[in-house]
Amino acid sequence: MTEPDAGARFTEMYASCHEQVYAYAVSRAGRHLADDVVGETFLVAWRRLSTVPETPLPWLLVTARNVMHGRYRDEVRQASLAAELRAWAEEADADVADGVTERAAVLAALARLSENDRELLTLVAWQGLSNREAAHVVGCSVATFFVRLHRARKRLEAAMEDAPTTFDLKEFSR
Amino acid sequence: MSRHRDVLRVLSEARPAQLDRGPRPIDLAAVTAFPQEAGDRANRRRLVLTAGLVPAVAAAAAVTVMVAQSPATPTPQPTLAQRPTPADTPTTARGLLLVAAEQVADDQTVGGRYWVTRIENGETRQVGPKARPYDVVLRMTEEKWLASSPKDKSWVFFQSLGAAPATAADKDAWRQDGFPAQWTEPAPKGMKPVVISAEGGPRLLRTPGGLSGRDVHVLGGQPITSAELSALPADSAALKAYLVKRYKDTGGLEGENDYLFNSADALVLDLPVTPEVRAVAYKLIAGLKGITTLGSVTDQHGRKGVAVAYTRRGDSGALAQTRLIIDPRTGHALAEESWSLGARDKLMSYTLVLGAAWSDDTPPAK
Repeated sequence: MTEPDAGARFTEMYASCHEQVYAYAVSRAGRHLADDVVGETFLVAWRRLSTVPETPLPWLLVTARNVMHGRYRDEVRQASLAAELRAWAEEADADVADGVTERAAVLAALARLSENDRELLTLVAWQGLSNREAAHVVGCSVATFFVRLHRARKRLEAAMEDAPTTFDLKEFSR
Repeated sequence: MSRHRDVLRVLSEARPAQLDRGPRPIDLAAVTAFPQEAGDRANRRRLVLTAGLVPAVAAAAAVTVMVAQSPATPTPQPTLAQRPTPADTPTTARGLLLVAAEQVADDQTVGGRYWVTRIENGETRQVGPKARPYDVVLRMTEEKWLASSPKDKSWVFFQSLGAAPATAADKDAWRQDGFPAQWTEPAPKGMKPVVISAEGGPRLLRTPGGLSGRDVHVLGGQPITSAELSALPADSAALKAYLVKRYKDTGGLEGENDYLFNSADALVLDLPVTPEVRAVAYKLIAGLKGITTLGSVTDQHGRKGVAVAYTRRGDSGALAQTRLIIDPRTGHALAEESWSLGARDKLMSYTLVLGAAWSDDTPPAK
């Protein structure tokens, strides 16, 4: 069960990954739930340390994702995330630096996308995951991931134009 | 805005600062005080770590109160008692497990307000001077009152029992090291050094305010509720199908056979399931590849049992073995031990089940 270097390995893994796991948790469930998600994720990681791969981040994000789905009802998580997305857009709006319009617009557009689209886009744009790693986190093949990411990008572009958007709403359900 | 700019790049530059604030610090010592689940080490290569970086432990959390428990207390010895097995005990792993399945199926368990478990967990840690390191076993007890109903809260108590030399040879090395009462280990940058204490600590409530009824159990590395556990199918094929589905849902990062063993092992060890499900879990283990029997053994408290072993190839070719020790009179699991096999087999960690039963009592306040 426990290897001699388990504690050190775990501590190193925490030191190198906790910020990214937190960022993912915030982007998926809002900051009100993120601390809990991080704590629970690393507890699972400790208990299952011998099965954590050498590159732990994708595994940790999958676990965080499972923790979120197992621990909170969807409404609770989505309400917390909606508050988070509103806060980002408002803060970006209040910012007077250059490029704020675009910044606020892309965050507002992100908030209007489906949860699935938002997850793909933020995994790539904010978590810095490779397409392969991101596909692993959301549980699909790399080929499928490319297709889904392509569609999500198109929908984000469309959402950045002023509503009403031009893309086919039926695509949302795919 | 321009449609010519890559929207992903725009999004990337709009990354909110809130993502970078970092989580509330977690108590690593409290996390690593939890027992680890048996797992498959073959799936990853060992990380290359600095020589000085040995284990972080729960001992950092152990408040020094009692001095009574000296490191000279009897040490847990790896004990594999002599054969032969009693005449009426099956001599194959499969036979032992099928008998245990029959026995536990007869349990007259009716459920209750709380599933109460008491376990003792021990872990071997390497300490001492670099030139002459030795092993100590760090022991702790955990008492859980796990609510059946989501209306009740669950409570977990924890007590460190301190660390003591693992074997007579380790005790000798400890003497030559000058009988230290604690061992300090350097930690990675930004972390406090970890102290392993020979002394035990007070009994602590690990869950101030209690835990809500959800997610207090772990099966196969993922949270599972009491309701889900009590609804597990008492049918071999259906239980296996359920576990395989769970395995696939979790991403399948370890081998399926390992996952099935670990999950079934947890079900027979101390999870609140019906006697029928426990019996089916034994049968599931009996059908897995890699199961052998070690015959009669005693656990770390000297209790007599029969052992079933699950062996897999670990890092650098070494064999890792999980031993499930069963009371042949009742079919109940007594303990689980994790061994590293080699020129000298080494006990890496153990879990003793000191109690696992339903209760309608009120949980203690502390």
